[in-house]
Amino acid sequence: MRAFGVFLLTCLFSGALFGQAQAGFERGVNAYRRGQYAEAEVLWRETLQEDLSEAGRARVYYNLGNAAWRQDEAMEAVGWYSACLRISPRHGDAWNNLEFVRADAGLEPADRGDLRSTARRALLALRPAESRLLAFSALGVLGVLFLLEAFVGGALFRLLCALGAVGTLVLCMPFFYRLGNDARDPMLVVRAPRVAIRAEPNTQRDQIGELEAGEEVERIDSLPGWVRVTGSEGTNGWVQEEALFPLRP
Amino acid sequence: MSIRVPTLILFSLLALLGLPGPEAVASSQAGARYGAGQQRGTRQGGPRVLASATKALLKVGERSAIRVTVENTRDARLIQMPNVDGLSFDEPSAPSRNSSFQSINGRVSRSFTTTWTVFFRVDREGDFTVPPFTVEVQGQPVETRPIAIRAVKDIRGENLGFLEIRPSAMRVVEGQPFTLELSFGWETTTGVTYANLYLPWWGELPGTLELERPLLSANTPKEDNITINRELRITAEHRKNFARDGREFTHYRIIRSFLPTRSGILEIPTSSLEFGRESKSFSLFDRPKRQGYIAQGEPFDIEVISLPTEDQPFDFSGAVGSFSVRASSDTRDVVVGDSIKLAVEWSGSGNLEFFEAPDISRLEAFHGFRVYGKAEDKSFERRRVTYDIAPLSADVIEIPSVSMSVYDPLEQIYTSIESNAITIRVRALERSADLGEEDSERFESDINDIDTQPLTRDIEPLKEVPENKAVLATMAALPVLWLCVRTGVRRRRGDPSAPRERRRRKARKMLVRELRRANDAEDRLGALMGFLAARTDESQEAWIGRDPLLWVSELSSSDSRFKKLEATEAMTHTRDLMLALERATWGGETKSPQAKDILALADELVEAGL
Repeated sequence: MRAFGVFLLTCLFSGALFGQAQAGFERGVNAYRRGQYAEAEVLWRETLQEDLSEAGRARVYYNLGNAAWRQDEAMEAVGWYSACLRISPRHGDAWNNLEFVRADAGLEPADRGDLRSTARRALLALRPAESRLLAFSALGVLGVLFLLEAFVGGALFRLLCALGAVGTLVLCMPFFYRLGNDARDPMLVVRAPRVAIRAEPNTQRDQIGELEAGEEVERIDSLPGWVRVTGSEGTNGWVQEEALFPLRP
Repeated sequence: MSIRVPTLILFSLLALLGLPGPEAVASSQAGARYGAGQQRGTRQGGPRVLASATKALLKVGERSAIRVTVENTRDARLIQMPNVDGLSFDEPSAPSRNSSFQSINGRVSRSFTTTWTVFFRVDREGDFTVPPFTVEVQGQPVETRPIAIRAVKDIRGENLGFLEIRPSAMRVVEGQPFTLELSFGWETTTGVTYANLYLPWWGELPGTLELERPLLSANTPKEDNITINRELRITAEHRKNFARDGREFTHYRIIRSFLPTRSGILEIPTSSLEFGRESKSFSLFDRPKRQGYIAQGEPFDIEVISLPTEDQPFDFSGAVGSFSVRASSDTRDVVVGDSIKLAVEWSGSGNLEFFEAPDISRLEAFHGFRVYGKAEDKSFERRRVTYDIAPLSADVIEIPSVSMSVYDPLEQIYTSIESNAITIRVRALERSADLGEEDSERFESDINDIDTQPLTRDIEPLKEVPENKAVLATMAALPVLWLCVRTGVRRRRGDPSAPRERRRRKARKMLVRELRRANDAEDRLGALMGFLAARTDESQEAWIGRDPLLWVSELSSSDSRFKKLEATEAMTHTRDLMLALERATWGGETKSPQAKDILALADELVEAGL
């Protein structure tokens, strides 16, 4: 009886929290429609504090991107759209707006259309859970083939096992790619045109490199107001936090 | 030994009753499956196929069942169902299989029974003959005997109750919703405790979509204790009782709405209402007593005709019915570029949920507006579309009317219905009268709009997908497990790819092939020996003149695998079959075991562990 009561209370509590998130989201939509973009942004940021599903979170990121764009924060909008696409890679509107805003901000397109970009986009086209499911299913089929080979033997099953292993490797590629990608803690440089990398977290210290707006870097460490990052060229140093946008908000 | 005491009691009882003893039973049932060498009492008689109806005299609308039973074999399946005009058969139930062992004076016999129950319903009165059911028994088709059934009208049921089904129209066009109104009831003095409607068309009207109707209001009297097709419990509207021929009748009503999606004839077959009184039983062993009646609803057809293509407007989006439309806006005083919510609501009778709402961005009248998108709200009674629009210029003075082409089934013509235009005031932007050329371009090539759909609890079907660690662990464990299983299998049973194992596995297939080619008993004997040689990893010659019983008893003393084989009757049957084949080959006996007997023996041997 007590367990049931606790369960009921948990349900009611989570339902109330969700209702709060929903109300906040709708108030944000109304504020956006009224042209009060800053208020919409605050309301949607509050919504993110609630326990949302991945799909719901991606939708809020997308709206925050629009709100940032309306407030002439093009680089921040790029950050929100990129964050949205990390968890919902097939969000067509987010891709459209990302390319639109990047072009407006004078950045190169996120998808240049060359082989590397296309391959990267194809490998990241599945959501993390989808890529795991695909890999797990492929492993399941391979397991069945292995069992058949173990119990029945024969050249046919050996051949099928070899083909299955190759197929599994191919189907696991999105999973492996995402594994490497998700382990990172990327941040986007959002201050134009360039940001200084310093040897120590102090503006008086020597500048050891520069980061360009729109460049993705990886967070290594952080201190109040400062983030230690590794740039795409391998430069390791401290950058002011306000110049960066976390892609895992 | 423990079985013998009750067995002796059974024999004594049989003797007292003057019935044949177990010896007689066993001998009368001894099959000839394995020819003359069959041991008495070791196997019951040959397969027997029976079919019987649970009731031979039925009321129209009543459900009953036919049971098809196959005895003395497990290898049986129902392959053909009869088709009788006036009887509606359900799919046969999953077969119920029973097997039993009997030990009589130390002799063990085993019997198998497979039973299918096929439910059916009588649709009209008359005498029916259910043609034979075809059952495949041991690969051979066997037919049951025909079954006679008589169906009579339940005159008393028709007198005490009624069922009427009234369609809203007998002729409709594609996309025109229609309703079926079911009225039913019974005489109040009947004391009805249960009611069930048999509606064969319920949920299965091909070429239609059932429309959601609003729920009955809280004030409407309702009855929840009505079932449909004995499966679904639904709520019926309880209407006022009425009098007919000086008797008072209860009256219930159910209304269902449908949308035809293709032309043709919609057949509504005979429906029936089963109602009655059930007295409760307070004993554990008595079943409740039922006094049931059946009333019929007459069958009828509804004709669905195609939408005429002549004079069909280009912008026709599938709206069929008699509609009215009105428009409203959330604000009427705006600045250039401000959002206006234009709500257009269609109501009336028709396919409100199914037509495609007009795309106002393509209407010439809305040229002065930017259309951001639309949100829709559909129900059985109305369709509401909210357009998000913004005026592009201070010259705009009204929101134009939204027009839509509709097919009117009553008038049988295409018409156009238009919402009211809404006068608005659009103020110019502070810095200019309207959006300049440059601004207008920027406005046109804008980012896509925000996502306004409510944050529903998104269903995440992939939530239970294993985590990264589990996938990686599976990836690492799979080859290791494979190697372990592979090694284990090869240590225990040898290499399954080895020629002897492959020969052993293919033995039955080879036997089938050899038996197909066999012309006489000698060929069949050779095929059997080939099978035995392949299964025992010996040459075929090793089985010439061998006594299988002696062979297995010698091997079982040294190899435990053969003890199971020795315990079964399989080797006895092998010896008998080989003797019969040898007699036919060299003794000139004309009757010889056939291929199916040899295959049955092969299966028995494999099952016994050879």
